[in-house]
Amino acid sequence: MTNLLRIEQATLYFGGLRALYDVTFEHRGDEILALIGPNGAGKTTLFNSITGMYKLDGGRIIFQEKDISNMRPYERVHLGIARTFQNIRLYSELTVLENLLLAHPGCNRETIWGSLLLGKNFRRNRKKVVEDCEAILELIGLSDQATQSATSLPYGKQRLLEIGRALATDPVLLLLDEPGAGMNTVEKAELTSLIKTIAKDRKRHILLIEHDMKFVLNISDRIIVLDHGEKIAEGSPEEIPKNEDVVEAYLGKQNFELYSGHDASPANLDNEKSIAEEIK
Amino acid sequence: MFLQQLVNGLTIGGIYALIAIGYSLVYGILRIVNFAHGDIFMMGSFFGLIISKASGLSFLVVAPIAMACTGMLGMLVERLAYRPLRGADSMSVLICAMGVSTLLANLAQLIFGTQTHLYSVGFQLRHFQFGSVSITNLQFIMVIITVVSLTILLAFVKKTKFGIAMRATSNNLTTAKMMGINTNIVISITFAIGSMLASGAGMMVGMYYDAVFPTMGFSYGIKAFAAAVLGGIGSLPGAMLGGLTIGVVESLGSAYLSSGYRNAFAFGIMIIVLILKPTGIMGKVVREKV
Amino acid sequence: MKLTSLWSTFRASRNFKWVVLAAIVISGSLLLLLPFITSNTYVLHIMISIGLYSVLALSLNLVTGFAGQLSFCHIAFYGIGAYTGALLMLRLNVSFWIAMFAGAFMAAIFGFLLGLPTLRLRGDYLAIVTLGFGEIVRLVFVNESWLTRGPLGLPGVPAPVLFGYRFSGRVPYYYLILVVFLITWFIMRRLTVSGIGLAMLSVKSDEIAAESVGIRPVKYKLMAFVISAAIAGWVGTFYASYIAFVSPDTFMYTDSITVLAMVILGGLGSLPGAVVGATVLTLIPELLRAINEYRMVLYGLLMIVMMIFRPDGFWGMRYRVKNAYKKTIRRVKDD
Ligand SMILES: Nc1ncnc2c1ncn2[C@@H]1O[C@H](COP(=O)(O)OP(=O)(O)O)[C@@H](O)[C@H]1O
Ligand SMILES: [Mg+2]
Repeated sequence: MTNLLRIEQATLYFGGLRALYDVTFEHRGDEILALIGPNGAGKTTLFNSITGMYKLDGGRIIFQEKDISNMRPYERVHLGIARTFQNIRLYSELTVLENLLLAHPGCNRETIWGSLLLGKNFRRNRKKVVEDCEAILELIGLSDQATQSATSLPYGKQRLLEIGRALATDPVLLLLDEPGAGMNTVEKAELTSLIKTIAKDRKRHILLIEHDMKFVLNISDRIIVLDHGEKIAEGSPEEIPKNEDVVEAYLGKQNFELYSGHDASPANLDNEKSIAEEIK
Repeated sequence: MFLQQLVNGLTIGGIYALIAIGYSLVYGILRIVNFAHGDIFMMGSFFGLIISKASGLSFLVVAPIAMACTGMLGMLVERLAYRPLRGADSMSVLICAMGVSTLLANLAQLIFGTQTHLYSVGFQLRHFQFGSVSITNLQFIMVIITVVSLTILLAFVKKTKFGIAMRATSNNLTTAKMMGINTNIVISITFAIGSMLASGAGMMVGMYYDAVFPTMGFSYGIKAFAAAVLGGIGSLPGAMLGGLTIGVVESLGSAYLSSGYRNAFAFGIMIIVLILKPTGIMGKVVREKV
Repeated sequence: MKLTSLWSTFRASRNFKWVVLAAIVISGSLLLLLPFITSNTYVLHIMISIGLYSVLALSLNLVTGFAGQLSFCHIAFYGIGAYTGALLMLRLNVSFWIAMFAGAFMAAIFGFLLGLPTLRLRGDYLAIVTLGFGEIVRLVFVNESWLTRGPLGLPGVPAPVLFGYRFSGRVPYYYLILVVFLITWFIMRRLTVSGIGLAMLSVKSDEIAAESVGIRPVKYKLMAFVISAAIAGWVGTFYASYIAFVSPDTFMYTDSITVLAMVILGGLGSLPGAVVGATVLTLIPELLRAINEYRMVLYGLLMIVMMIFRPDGFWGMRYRVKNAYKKTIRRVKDD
């Protein structure tokens, strides 16, 4: 059976810190795969390794049967891997639309001569680029903000724009790093349906990191759990909450994110408050 | 001939090392290239000359005063030009640093004139002959001062409480601040130390070549930076090693290859090092956080 | 702050288009007819200097304002162009028009050779490498006397000949630099609103994010570096012929700083800003002779003060046309 993405024994150190150790799993394609784990488990580091921001110290990353472990990040994007950032990295000097445009392959592969001469075909290509990006704005509900500065948007919308920018690269596999962080319940519900739409209608394969357990269980087809850089469990949304290692990893360290997440709904806020008091 | 050039190269290399340390210290803490450092070196040299001329005191008295003045100048530059830009993007800081450098070099031209000044501070030069090699008493003194100040600095950074604060700040400014270190003072004093060493270097260069001029900060600055890069920027022993290497290569290069390109050898080495091993001889590789 | 909001109200108003059009027509015809309005050679000389520095500032702006790379050797490329052009015209009797492109080409080659290995480095390393490169280029002009006559320089660089007419006086040079300026403006305008311009801006503000959307930073930095070097080399040849003389001390690093100060004053990443900066900093020392002596001191101060209080310059990014990329396709019809 061929997989879309295969991580083989991924290992990575930061000096003495073992951020990833012997992590092996695969994305089978046509599924929403979630990566969860306590803070500092190595999830973002794994994303950085898949997208080439970090080079692995050991192990391999296979994408569509090709070993991409030694490729530069931009080459991996050309193969069809796109990502969002946990700590939002939008271009504040540019508008919302421009943040998408520059990610579009039709735009960022324009040539010098083409740009200078502005021939008919060239402009037609440009028109398609703009239309594609405007369609994405429509999808993420930011059409009205097209001329605003990207960072003037509220936080939740910036996260959506990050997803839009990744989509603009026309990816096969979309990596979302905590797409719902800082969103309220309503926004999260919208996000869930957006991600499902992207997966089904736009036919993108999705790998996402998320803290909010309710959100993850609701959205994903399969879940991988990382702790201390190691994979401790893998299974369906039904199996994972019952897995003893997982419960231990979260609760054993008094990390309550499994249940509360960053969900800012009143019930959860109360929950977090009482927990905080308990700790004191 | 070869030995003579080697000795000359090592002497001037020590000077480069002293200046390079200023780059390394500041870079280690703030991650900025203090382009103005070469010009602070030049000012330090001029301070020595003016104070000595104005007061007529022995140079043994003048030198510490000049160093203190230069240290103050360094702190002033940090306070006025760099501190307001703490946390700004690196291009702004670099441009600002270049602005300070331009300002100092040209202020010096206005004040002291563009001509080359003789460095007449009443030092009696004596030559000693060792076989084919001639060494002056000044060269001896320079080597001794260089070695002593570097040793003191290393011990200071390794052993004293302040040195530990310095290293903590250099390791991670935010964490150091949270641990209760007054990072602003640490940074100020770092600039002061770097500037004082540069001033010492400036006065020795003045005596060695019997000449100072307002634009000399440029070439010394780049060479010392090349030394810091060669050794691995941020590393003190690296700066030492880099300085000596640059001094020797330059001395041999201008003797055997071409004296017209004397100033080009250091740049050449720097470019090659940056291309082949950007972390330098003793630098560490760090993964940039994404 | 206020200025920006005033500007956006003005932009949005119905009259904006007409005001801009009128301004362009009036200043355009003034520029075109200037030699008929005044025959004062000094005025023309200043205008030619403004044109020259505008072209230099526009080209440096591509590297620093758009691709975000601090380069301190812009004048070295200008010098390479000047020497290449002068030598070709003097030694091989090459026509000025060909020499001009040879100058641009030579500067581009050096830009490529310097940029290829060094543009991967951190920005501060690049800055200091360019400082060193500029100095090496000057040393070559000084030391290779067999070719450049060393510090003596190369006198008697010939004037251009166009359809049998040999340039003399200021007027033809004035028109020539006007054309060079317009071509440079056109190139910069088209490039900076294109996908290339957007990619450069993305590399400037966040290389990691740029790579995450498939943009290869080195490619765009190199592109900016080479194009900018070529344009500097191109006007370098113009300069050699206009002054009829080249010598090493015209190409000191302080002149690179001057051009940089112009770009910073106007605003990094803004084409009108670069021209405004070049105009202001060319005019001020001419109008106020007294301060000429303090010129470099002022530039140094200006760089510090601008970075602390107004890093965006006076006509910077904030005035840029929003979504200019989209505006280039207004005339495309579906067929
Ligand atoms: N560039 C880096 N340098 C040093 N340590 C890092 C770096 N990036 C991440 N780490 C460390 O690696 C561990 C895993 O981090 P990360 O992957 O961000 O965790 P998370 O699962 O919360 O996304 C943490 O202990 C973090 O501090
Ligand atoms: Mg994370």
